[in-house]
Amino acid sequence: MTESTRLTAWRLGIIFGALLVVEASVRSGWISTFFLAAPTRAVVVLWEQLLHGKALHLTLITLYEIAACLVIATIFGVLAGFFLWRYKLIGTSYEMPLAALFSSPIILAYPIFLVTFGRTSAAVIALSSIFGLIPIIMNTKGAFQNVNPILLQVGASMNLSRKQLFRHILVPAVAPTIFSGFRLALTYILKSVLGLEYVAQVGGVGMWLADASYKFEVEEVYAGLFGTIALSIMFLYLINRSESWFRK
Amino acid sequence: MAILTLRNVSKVFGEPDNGAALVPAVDNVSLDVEAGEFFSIIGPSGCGKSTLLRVIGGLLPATSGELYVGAEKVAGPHPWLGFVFQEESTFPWRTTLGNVEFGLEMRGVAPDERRRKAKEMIGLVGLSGFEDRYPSELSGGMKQRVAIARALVLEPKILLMDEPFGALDEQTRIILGEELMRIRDQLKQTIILVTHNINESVQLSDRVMIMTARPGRVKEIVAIDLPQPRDSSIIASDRFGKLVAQVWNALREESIRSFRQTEQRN
Repeated sequence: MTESTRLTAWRLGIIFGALLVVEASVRSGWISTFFLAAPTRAVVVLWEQLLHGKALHLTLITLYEIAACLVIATIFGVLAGFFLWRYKLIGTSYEMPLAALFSSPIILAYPIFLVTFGRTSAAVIALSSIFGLIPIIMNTKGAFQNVNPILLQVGASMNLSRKQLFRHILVPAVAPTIFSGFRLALTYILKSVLGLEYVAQVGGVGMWLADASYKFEVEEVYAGLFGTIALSIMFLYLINRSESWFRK
Repeated sequence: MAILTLRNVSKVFGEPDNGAALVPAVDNVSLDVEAGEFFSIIGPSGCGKSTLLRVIGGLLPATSGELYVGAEKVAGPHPWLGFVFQEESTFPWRTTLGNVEFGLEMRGVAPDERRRKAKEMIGLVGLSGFEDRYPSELSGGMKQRVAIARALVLEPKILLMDEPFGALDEQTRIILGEELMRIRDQLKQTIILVTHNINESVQLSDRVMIMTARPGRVKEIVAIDLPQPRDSSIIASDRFGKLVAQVWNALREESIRSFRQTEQRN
């Protein structure tokens, strides 16, 4: 068994072990179904909702919003990060304000976005993209700043063209840090998208969770949470696959 | 005919237009290196020996003077030259095989051909069995061997090495030096080595060039007449001791001068 297989086995073992404990606790009545749904019931409800209920439509809305935020944050974040690295004076000047903006509660600005874009997905995408944008900008700038110059000299000593240096040395060297930024961005985007859907009732899984919680539909709430976790895993998987491709 | 010729090469750092102080690093260096020769450059810290090697390798432009590789005048990286750096320089995202293949891949060599050549070179540096390991899974000495294989696989006529064993412990350094001698004998490779280690320079070289304190000039070139092929047992011989003393005698005054220069700067 390889190291990575062993790690995966441990990880899955711990997750399924915990779910088993929850399942047993709920089924035995030790924890009330008013607080917690049995994981198997939540999965069944999720499946039923996806097939016959509103879940599929709402999940597709959330999926679309997250994907749009990631694309916008990636394009503008990487470009801005590269620009701030390339022009050191501007980069140094904006580093602190960006960090301050990152730690500020931008989410409280959601009424402005609702007024500007209406109670639509556009408002969710516009505000959530900002959450994703900042870690990508900061990680991109940091990634380029911290490239080991010796690696570029190795390329120069082999007489590589600028294009080869960029594609085969610079890109793989910066990829891990930039992709860490993507993972961070995904976390913030997920929180923001679901939070806004929940609060502003714009649609998507967040609205489904809000509806279910107002009606004390515990199994639906947990089904929605499982759906959200599945979305998060799917996006993380896609990010990790893209990173492997970039580092080739 | 010399495979590498330097004529009055100088390197000055700083832009006169910027008003910054000009720092002369290398001053008026002329030398000839013969094909198949192991030529070491030694000098006090900060004397410009690494700068000189980077100028030879085309990584830094010379401020004045001429540089010839074979009969060709050069002013940048040349395909006959390979470079091994002191610092960790393997690509962390590539395996040993991927690192060694890198240069061939960039030159468009077909995958089968480059794999065969890379594996051959990995065997030559004694890393067979480690082809699929990433640099993070290798020791410092092994990483340097990967860097040497990566440079050698491109079949450079001259291998430039900037203190390649500088970050390694003494025993690893001696053993890798011995490995380098073996590779050099096998490939009939011309090697120019920058080092601050007198023993290493005498153990490995055919000639040792001693540089002055900054700005670096050629102070003396010592011919090492130890028998070939050598291994590390040569360091126990009387002749080795005498040559080390001769190099140190030439270097001592410059080292003191360099030490004083540093003290004055601080």
